[in-house]
Amino acid sequence: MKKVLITLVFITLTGTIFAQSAVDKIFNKYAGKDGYTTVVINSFMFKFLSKIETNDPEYESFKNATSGIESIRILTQDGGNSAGFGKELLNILPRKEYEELMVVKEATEEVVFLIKEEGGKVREFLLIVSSQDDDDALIVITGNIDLESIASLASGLDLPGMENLQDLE
Amino acid sequence: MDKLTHIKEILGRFYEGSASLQEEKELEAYFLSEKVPEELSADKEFVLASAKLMEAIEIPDDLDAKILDRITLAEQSERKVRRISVYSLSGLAAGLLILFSVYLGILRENNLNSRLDQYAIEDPERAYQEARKALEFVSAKWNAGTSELNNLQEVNRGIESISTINKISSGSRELNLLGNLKKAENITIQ
Repeated sequence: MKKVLITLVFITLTGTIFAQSAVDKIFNKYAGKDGYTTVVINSFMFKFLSKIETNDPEYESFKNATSGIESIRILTQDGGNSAGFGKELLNILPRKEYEELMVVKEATEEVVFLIKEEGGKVREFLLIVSSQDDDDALIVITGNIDLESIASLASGLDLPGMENLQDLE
Repeated sequence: MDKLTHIKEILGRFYEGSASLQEEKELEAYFLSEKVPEELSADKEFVLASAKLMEAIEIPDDLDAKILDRITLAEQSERKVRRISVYSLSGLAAGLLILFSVYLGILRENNLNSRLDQYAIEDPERAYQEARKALEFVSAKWNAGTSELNNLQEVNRGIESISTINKISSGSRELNLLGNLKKAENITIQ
């Protein structure tokens, strides 16, 4: 009986470990489909980019901001007629697994910022855009994400708004 | 009935297995003591060999009990072996199931990774541009949300200023009251 229980627990754990996350399922479903654009920047590329030496301060701040990032995955639906895709994204992504950082609802657009924390550190950052006029998009950033340095990167790149991320800390 | 015929009859029963112990002894005595005809020489050898064999085998008194014990033991060990084999089979099945699920999991992950790998940017300059573009996009959306919060903060500041004016106004009202009291005091004295 004990052995059977141990086996069942092991099988459950194995299933849990290898269970596809909701984000994986979305990419698995839409990557390569007509009308969708998939972009993946993996950890190997970030490691490579971090080794490039330059005097450009913008690039240095980019390196700092992305030093802990393992991957950025982008999935967009092209063509503007993508209300269904954005809504599906908002429905599929399990809100219980993520913390809602911010939700911006406008007449024609809904933008949701989600994060997943582990040990007090942001391990996954999701941006979901569901729009009636523009392209819907999902941006997934994984790794050891330092929001503050991303904010400083934005100010370095002269991107308005990212400095507000500093207020999160 | 002559002796030979009698012996032949007993021999017949001996081969059938129905000869009594006494008859077997009689046969044995006949073949040992008398001159045996040629036709019975083969039977003589067989009967004497059988007798010798029977002498060599001692049948213990508790043979039946021993046989029963052995049978019981054999049944028990058979049951044990069966139980062990059922456990082993279930263990083996569980092991195979685990291996299979691990294999499926790895296969599924590898499948997704390999699918997504084809979209991975291999040109560092393009990767840098795309990463920047993604962060710019995140920034723009973030800014749109937080600007609303900034507006709220401005409203809050306005409310704070109004409450300060209110405090000043209530202070001046108290001073007015004090002034009125002073006037009343002067009138009373006069």
